[in-house]
Amino acid sequence: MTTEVVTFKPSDKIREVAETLRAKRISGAPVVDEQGKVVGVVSEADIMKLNATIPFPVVDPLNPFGVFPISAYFKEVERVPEEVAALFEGEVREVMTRKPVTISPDASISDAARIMHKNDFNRIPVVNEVEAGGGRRGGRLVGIIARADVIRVFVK
Amino acid sequence: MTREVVTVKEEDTVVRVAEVFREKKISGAPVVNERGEVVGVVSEADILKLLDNFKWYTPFFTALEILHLRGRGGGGEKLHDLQQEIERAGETRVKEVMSKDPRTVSPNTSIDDAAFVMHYTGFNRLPVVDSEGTGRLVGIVTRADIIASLYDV
Repeated sequence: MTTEVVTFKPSDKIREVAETLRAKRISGAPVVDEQGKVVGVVSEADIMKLNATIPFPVVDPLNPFGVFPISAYFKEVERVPEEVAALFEGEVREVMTRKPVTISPDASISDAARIMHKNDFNRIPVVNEVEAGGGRRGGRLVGIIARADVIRVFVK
Repeated sequence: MTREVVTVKEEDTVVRVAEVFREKKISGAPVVNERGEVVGVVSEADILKLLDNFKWYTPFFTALEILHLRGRGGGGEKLHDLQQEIERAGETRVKEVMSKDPRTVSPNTSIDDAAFVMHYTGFNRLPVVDSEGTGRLVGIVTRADIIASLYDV
């Protein structure tokens, strides 16, 4: 697990989040509140979903993933770049995944690998328990475990 | 797009790919043949699937210990068996785990079209291939590249 974690605040602008993810060469990060409690996870996938809220041009059903989709011929349904860019002025709380799956520092690596594989997650925040019963909702972030950490078993 | 693309070959082992990913700080790469044609894409997710099949001895290994697995002296037989399984899995060839029908784009593909392909296929990186018909790899475009183009108008 990595203990020096890049994190965001719920009020951070999506544009800044995207820039930070790109600069740090990571694809996602936890969002924490002032107490350091994990309130969400934001990823490139969430930002891509945001992008899709402005409809894509009509897609040729006979060639849905073709190199030259029909959009090339239907200029009137083109997306307006400024409208797309405006989406990025929102706050990350609007796009983050709330109540994310988290894992305890004592969990096994197989648990982490399985959770990642089943849910198609790239990363899982590692949090301390906050409830006596063992619940970790809203737990304090102690680190993060990502796919790269898990596949490190193969590196000699 | 990025023109200097890290690629791997079909016969490369998972160990080799994991090393390349770690060294280059990437999470996936196109697989090319001798002619430079893209025959697949391999990613961390593909390698992770291998680990999902393991018979892990969960009481003994914690998330914190994984980084020290090879350096640990203790664990005895169970650790030895586990290391053997890892070593065997590590010899798996790329061609057995890669996505064989990768989505590609051409250098002329628009940002919106590339974003559409990524959004609906779930692929995080799209090899850019020569549109003149040779199918040769000329670059790669990642999700990060697409996102940067969307807000940087």
